[in-house]
Amino acid sequence: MTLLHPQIALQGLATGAIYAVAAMGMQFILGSTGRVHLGVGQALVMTALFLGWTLERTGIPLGWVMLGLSVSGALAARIMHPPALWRHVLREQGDRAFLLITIGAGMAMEALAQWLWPLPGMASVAAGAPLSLSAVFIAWPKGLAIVVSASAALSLYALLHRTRRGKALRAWDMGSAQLETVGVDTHRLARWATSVGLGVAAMGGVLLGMTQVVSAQEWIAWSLKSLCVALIGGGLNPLSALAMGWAMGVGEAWVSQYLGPQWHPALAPVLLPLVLRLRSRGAI
Amino acid sequence: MTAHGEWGRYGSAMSGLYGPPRRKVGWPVAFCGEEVSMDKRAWPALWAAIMILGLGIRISQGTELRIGASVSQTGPFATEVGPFGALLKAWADELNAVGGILTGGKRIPVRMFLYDDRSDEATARRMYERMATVDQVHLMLGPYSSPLTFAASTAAELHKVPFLAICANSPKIYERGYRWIACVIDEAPRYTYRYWEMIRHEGLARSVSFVVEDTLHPKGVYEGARALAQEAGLRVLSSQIAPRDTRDFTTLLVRLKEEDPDILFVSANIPFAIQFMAQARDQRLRPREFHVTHHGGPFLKALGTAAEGVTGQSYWTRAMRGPGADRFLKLLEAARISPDDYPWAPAYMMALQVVEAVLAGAPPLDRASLMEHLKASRTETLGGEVWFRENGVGSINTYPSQIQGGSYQIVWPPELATAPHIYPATKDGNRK
Amino acid sequence: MMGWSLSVGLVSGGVLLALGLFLTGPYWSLVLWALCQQAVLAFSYNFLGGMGREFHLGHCAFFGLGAYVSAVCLDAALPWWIAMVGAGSCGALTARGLAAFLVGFRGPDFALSSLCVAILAGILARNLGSVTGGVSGLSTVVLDRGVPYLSTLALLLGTVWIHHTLMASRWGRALRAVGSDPLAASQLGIPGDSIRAEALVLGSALASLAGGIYPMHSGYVSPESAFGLDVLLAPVVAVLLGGPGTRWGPLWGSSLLVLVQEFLLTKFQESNLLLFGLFLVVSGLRAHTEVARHWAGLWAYLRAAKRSPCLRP
Repeated sequence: MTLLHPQIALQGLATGAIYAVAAMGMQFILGSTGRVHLGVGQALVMTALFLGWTLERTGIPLGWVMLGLSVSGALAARIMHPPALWRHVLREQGDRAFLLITIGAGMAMEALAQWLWPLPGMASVAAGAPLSLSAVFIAWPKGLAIVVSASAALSLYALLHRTRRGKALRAWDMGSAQLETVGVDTHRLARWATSVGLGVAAMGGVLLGMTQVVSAQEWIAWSLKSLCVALIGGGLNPLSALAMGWAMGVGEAWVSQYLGPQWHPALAPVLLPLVLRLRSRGAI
Repeated sequence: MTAHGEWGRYGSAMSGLYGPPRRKVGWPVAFCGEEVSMDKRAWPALWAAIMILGLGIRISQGTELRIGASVSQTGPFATEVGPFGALLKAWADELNAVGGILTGGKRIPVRMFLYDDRSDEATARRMYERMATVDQVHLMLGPYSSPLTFAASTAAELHKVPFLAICANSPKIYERGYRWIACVIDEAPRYTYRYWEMIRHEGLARSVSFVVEDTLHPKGVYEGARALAQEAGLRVLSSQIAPRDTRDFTTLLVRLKEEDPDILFVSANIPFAIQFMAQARDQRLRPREFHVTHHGGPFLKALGTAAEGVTGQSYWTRAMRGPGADRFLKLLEAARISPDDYPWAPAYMMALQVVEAVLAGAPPLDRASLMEHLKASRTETLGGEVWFRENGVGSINTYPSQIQGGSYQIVWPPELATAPHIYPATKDGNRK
Repeated sequence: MMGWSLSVGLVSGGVLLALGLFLTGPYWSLVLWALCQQAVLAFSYNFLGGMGREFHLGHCAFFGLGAYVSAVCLDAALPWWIAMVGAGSCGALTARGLAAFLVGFRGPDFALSSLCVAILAGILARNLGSVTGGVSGLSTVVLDRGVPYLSTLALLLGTVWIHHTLMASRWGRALRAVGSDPLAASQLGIPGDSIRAEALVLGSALASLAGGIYPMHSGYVSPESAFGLDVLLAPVVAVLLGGPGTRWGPLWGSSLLVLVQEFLLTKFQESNLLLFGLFLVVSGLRAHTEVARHWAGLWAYLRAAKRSPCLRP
């Protein structure tokens, strides 16, 4: 077998694309508000389950469903995150209370998801002929996932560098404590960042639903995975989240190839502390 | 005095270093960083509440059959047995509608005590302790899965309550020498013996590769299947074990394509199996046969025509019928459970049939007599005859079934088969 | 005040013992045992996670480590107290080794690094089958319930004593200072990394001891029961509920956590997860406001505020 079999690399890239999109969503919230939002995983899982249900029960084309679910995810996030949550954004108690709220909300949503979708599911759109190039095959939803992840990264990069709100978010990420004194309403900004972040995560959920089997109980695992990739990728940087997500997917495939599939979950927990340590010392 | 104490919002570092903690009135209790006073009287009230609750509510037994069970309504096992509480309730309601369960010519009401074990061993243990001591049940039905049954049966053994395990076939459970446990189903290593009997009888397959989910039940099934495959004369090409949450099987699939086995045996729960099969299809893996131990409804639904020809293991299919089949389907309808979506439902029905049969023999309604009668019973059920070995292991085993035309057909043994086994599934082993 | 609190703690411990063994049935003694275990984990978490203001997600790794070490010792027919000593020692030594690496992190970096420790521990437990039994786990003899119950109670009382003593000591104040404002603390000459490392080792040793008792009662330890998400989140949620960095908050929080969960499991079987999630959400929201101070004693607070002018906002 070659150093990295092209089939293995391609599939790893597709898996990494979902990590990347989820991490972008997590980064948007973490990089701006400094808060770990465990609801990112829930957004992914709920959207993935909803995708299967929508495609099964309605005749709406996939593209519209994707767009609709991402926008719905963002709107739902906006409704579920009232301004009161951000009012004390600089207070330490706010961080801890926020954690309780997101864990609790995640559990409540899991119960709801289980009631609505008690069985594990995979969107039937995945049942299609795979694309092939020479001896390498890839299901078209996975190819789409890779393309969508790249597009999402570029779009978010443009959002952060070309819009006023994006620039304000970046300023916040850089630790600007004077943001409020120059007239930026950090409460509204946090709310907006959360909506966008969870909307992006919802898009990741669409990709997840098209390519993998999902159960309602997996939300916390996805939250933690996206958190790992987001932190490895650094602060508010969608391009690095994309690169790290892809690298994580390919890396796990590579570890599977050489050490066996039972060791591939160890890549992220080994890599993350090393990257964080090197970065804190300025090596990255 | 601000919300953050006498030192103000940002002075907590200073107060912590330079001064003693704030003086408190009463018994200090805090919430989210703030030390505040709580009335001393509240603490004795709390302990009093614990004592009152702790005495437990002693319910008078009366003449009713009290059965306790836990169902994994939340947690990872919820996808396997989540709605089964409704099935047990439907059974109890059906009996109580005609006066109760029949015992010695008269009927006594049935009372079910159902709890959610959260797919967690410690919770399962606590719930079964509660059933044994607070609810004072006569009989317990086991939870789903071997780890939970391992924990729950400890409570039954301690309090000497008959424990009828249902979906728990790890040999470890029955090696402890417990006297108060009996299980409907056979042990995991024998789970697929009928399938290998059929393979040996046909004499067509020569090689097998295994893909195994790294969890208790699939591994137990795999260990037995490997030995049985070798006994059937097949060459084992490889055995690959992957964690439950594996998302990408490409590494395994690349190796399997090189091996090109006649039979690809996937010992896994449904989510893992769906994921694997979808990728196997996408990457054009083409053994003569896919054997997926758990190939129930969600598997077929997710994969569609790609699941055609896949064999697996079933306790029962609609085509089989068997004693009580119509009643079983009615109960499932009342509980809003589709038998295709939940392949373990027949095992639960068999357990309920055993309970009815044991009670019909009019044993005294005490735990020791019930256990004695249970262990000695032989009952014709939906999936065959249920009887128990000395160590409690049962007799029910799965039948090999194949997805043909979108439905499940039993393909062995010949006397029970509802359709012939199609091997290879297609001319060139093509899965599409 | 400290002496009085400790006396009350000891008396409460005696009451718990009586409740558990003589006045309550086996089921409630099991619930109380679970409560004591959670309380030990919460108090031990409170050193670094509460006073040190670090979001420490690796605490369960030491609980799990202690459980496995104890199970191996019990399987080798060693006495239970040796199993406990082994569990505590292994936990302390492992924490000492990891502390050098972990204390260099702060905030989310520390949270993630500690989480990685927990995840890796679970992966090793699953994959090193020859030592840990793999996914099957290890089964051991179940000891007479007096042993694990009394051990847990003794451990809880010891943990409370250590917790309260250190909290009122200079070391405790230094730890709180490091947690509140590391920069100010370092400028005052407090060795932040060293104190945090000590807190990590102490908390981990206590968690390992709690883990060491677990298989004595359950007779079984598996990767899920030792390193699962429930074990990971429980002490964190308990401390958040009760109040991080406070004296009795861990006990209050773990009591609330265990009793609320038990109540919901027994009375609302079908909707227990939903209700528990809502409970956490409401707890978090109440913590977020400036008016509502604490969950179960709001009226007591207002009454105390009426009596004591220094407590009025």
